[in-house]
Amino acid sequence: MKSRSSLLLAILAVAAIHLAFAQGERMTLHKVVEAGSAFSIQSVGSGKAELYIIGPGQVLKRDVQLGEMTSFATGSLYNAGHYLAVLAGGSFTETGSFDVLAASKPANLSFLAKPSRLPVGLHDGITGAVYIFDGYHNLIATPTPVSFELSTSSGAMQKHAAVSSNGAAWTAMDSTSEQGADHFVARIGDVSSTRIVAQVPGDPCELTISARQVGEKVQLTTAPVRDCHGNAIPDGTVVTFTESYSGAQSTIDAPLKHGIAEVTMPVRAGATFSVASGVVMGNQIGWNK
Amino acid sequence: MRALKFLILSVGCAATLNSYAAQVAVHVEPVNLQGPRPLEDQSKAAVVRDYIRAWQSFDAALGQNRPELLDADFVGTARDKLSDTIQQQAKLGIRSQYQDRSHDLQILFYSPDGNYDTARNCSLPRRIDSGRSEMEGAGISIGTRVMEIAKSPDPASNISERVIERATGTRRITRKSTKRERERARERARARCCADF
Repeated sequence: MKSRSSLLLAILAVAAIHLAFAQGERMTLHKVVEAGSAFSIQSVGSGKAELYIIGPGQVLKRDVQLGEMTSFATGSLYNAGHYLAVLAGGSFTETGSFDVLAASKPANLSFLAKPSRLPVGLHDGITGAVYIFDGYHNLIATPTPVSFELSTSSGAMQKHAAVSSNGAAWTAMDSTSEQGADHFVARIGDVSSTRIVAQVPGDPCELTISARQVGEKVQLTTAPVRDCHGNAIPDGTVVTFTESYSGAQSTIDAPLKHGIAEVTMPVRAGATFSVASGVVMGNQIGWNK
Repeated sequence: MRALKFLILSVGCAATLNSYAAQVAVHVEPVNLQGPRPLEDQSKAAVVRDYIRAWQSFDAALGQNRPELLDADFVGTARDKLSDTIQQQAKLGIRSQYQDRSHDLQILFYSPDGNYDTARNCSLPRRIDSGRSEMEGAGISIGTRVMEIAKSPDPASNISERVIERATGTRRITRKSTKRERERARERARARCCADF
């Protein structure tokens, strides 16, 4: 029974070696090496040879003594990829191949947040895509949990969780009701990347005007113009005042200044004054004096 | 011991995109997108076109040890890494050429804003290589396509022929896989590619 167990163990060990190494006539390679980690290549025979490690990410060369182990120190081979090992002696050349895979620990995030500026209160208005890299800037393709956070200056926070697939993860978030610079953060453990997303007021909401006679004219003034979330509409936004009388119309465009717009229009009996900004209509005032 | 002056890994390079495309079989797997945005036909065509062009530039740059040939298709870290490789090759007196007989390309990720996509080649050795990349300083690049090519673990499926030449030309070792070997390797790679999802 003991000998059978030993045999089984031996078979398993042999199988493991076959899985882990690529065995050539003159050299033995690990099939997989983690980026940046130390590894070695065993050669057999005697005499001197040159060992080339060649891949799209790096090319290395070592003078080797056949029969000895050639060691590559930590950090010597760090770009992920498929590599060819070429052992060139005076009378022979032998090749083998192995893969260098990205390290499992994320070290860098490339975080793409769009747009950089948008109105408040938009559903799924902000999108973020993140690519996950190791310390050598190799894309980590293994699924990795990613946390996305969008926080306003007042501390309100939206949080989404995602798992990366093939090195990428994404999310979509609503813009908040508060104007200002929001912090959009992608985080994996202690690695994070932050983007600033500017939220600006939306369209004016509940546009209202008041009127008062000034001599022969009437002065029209808006109430402080705000969006539907109470954010002040920025100065410079155009407000259009319209006077309708006897089948005719006069319009004046005035920019917001200190949050309000103000114009003076001629007085005509039976005139109606109205106001609009963008697609938003305000109240109307009839003038019968 | 003689130094290797020329090391040619696989053979084959085409002069133009059209002849290259005709020479290399490019099979695009059904789109299996991770992301909310559907992939437009034009974008899909652009991914394949950019991918083939990136391989062309890659072949030429590493075959001639001319990093400037990367400029049209590689930027950022991807370009830097390949450029470093070319410098290392030149220092050692080596150049390399990659022969790509076929590509099984699968588009995996299309960013919500439509500026970035990820594709992988199921018939190439597993690694993360890159086409265009402008992800350094992320968030400021606009309209640049990012093409990350993740390769499957089986090298045999792509490299069908490997030639190593000595500088003197006195020694030439050729290993050519059979058609059946190549087909089986391709099937294995495709099965593995699809099994990952």
